[in-house]
Amino acid sequence: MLIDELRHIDPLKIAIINDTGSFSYGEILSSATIIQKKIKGLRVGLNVNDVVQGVKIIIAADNCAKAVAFLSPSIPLDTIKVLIQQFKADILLTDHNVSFKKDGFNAFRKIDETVKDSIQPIQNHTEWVMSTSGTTSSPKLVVHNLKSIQRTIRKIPLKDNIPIWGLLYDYTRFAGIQVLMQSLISGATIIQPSVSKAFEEQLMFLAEHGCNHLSGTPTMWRKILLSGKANILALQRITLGGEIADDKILNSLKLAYPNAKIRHIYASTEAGVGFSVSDGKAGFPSSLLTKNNYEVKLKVLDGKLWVNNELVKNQYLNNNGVVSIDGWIDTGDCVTISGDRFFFLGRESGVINVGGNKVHPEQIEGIILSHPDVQLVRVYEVKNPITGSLVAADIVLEGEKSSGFTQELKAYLRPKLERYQMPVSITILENMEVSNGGKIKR
Amino acid sequence: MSNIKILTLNNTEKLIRQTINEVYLSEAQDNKILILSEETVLLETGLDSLGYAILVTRLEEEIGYDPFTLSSEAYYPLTYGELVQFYFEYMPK
Repeated sequence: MLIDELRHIDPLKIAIINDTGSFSYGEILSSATIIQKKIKGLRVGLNVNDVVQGVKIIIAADNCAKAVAFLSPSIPLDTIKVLIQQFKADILLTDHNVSFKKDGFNAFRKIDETVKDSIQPIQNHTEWVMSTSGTTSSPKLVVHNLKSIQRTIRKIPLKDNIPIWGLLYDYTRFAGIQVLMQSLISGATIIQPSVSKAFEEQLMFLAEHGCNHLSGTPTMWRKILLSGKANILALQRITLGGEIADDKILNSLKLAYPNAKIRHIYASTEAGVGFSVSDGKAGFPSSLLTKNNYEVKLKVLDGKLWVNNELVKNQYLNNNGVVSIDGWIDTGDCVTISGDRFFFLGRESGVINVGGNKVHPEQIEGIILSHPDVQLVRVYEVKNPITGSLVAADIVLEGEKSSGFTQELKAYLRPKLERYQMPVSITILENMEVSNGGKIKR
Repeated sequence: MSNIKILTLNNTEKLIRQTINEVYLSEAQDNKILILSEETVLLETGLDSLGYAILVTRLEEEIGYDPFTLSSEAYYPLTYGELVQFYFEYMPK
């Protein structure tokens, strides 16, 4: 039980710092104990921006509520209504200032004394329901439990260097939950900068509060290095996830943070955490597929990575399709083997077909990023009447470059790419749009 | 953007010729000098269908429109003369 696990932590120790204040473990646990009376045996929808509220609910819910659904505050209201119907929420905690009465839901802005005590019995096997990002279709609900969420989380012995985690992710998404759970279970402190602030200011907030452990997408890390503020953070541990980590970003981080342990993680909402790689190189060793003692089973089938997670329900909630067969989840991520190492090519669904040749935009992005002056890149499809599609690229550069730079870049790429992989046009942008989850928008 | 250029038949032809030469330089499989006449068959100049595809996209960037998507029928000009004529036909009025 999460709440009991956390009772061993010094109650005066700070659990969360955000722009509204500092919150101790003691304070959060005593609120969670009160909340337990209100939500026991119920299905709880969590749709609030405030991480402190969220953490209290999460801690209260485990082994007490029947289920808790993590519904990102970034999900539009109409979709929220669909999801809570699918989830069959008994009680909804939401920032939305509208009435859910006619939808048959009890909605509150926070769970306090105005909420009646639940008369349902306590439930011991609480479902943790995560929502997929829904970038390509409407979001679906995946049923986890605490075990499947934290199966690769280890208590980091606190010793002298106390982890202070920075939270750049939405805490209701899988990556954010990972950071939260890692921090809480180790009795560490988590710092959440306000997302309404500029990225540089968020980094300054993290630095001011001594953040030394930070997790982000490769795009977020590229933005950190681009911001000129990288050196204000004294990082001991760096985690990359959510996108392909290429050699250039791994090497750049090693240079910027020589004392940090750097690892990249493979995880998804459906599969949970697959593995983490800490040898500083892109891709992953093929030995991960055969290691018997490794807790997560992996396989490669038809050039795609499959992850076994029997702890996750094999159907999306509300019969919305298959998550896994015999525990095996098709991740949709294409891989290729070179020597004794697998490398990610990109999403199966994102393949661009250039006159019958398949192009993975992520693969081209990795090669463009290998040019020392390119900091961010997005490769995408342009329609073409002859070949169906061609490849194009947007880039963000480090510093000012002359107008002839795209020609220089094309000359750099030509020997590295097949003709059909070559971007027909390259556009230099000042900045690049990043999704809510910190990824390049596709 | 390219659509601020004032398009006339004359400079459109110049742009098409210039763009073909550029695409030819980067895409053509042989290194012959490209001499374009009305009768020149495009796919016999050393440009393959991928080169042709790149030409269409580059032309759209240069002159601001793509007659292939503007025309309702599937028509693929074979000669340089036909290509120029096709672009003239769909030039924005």
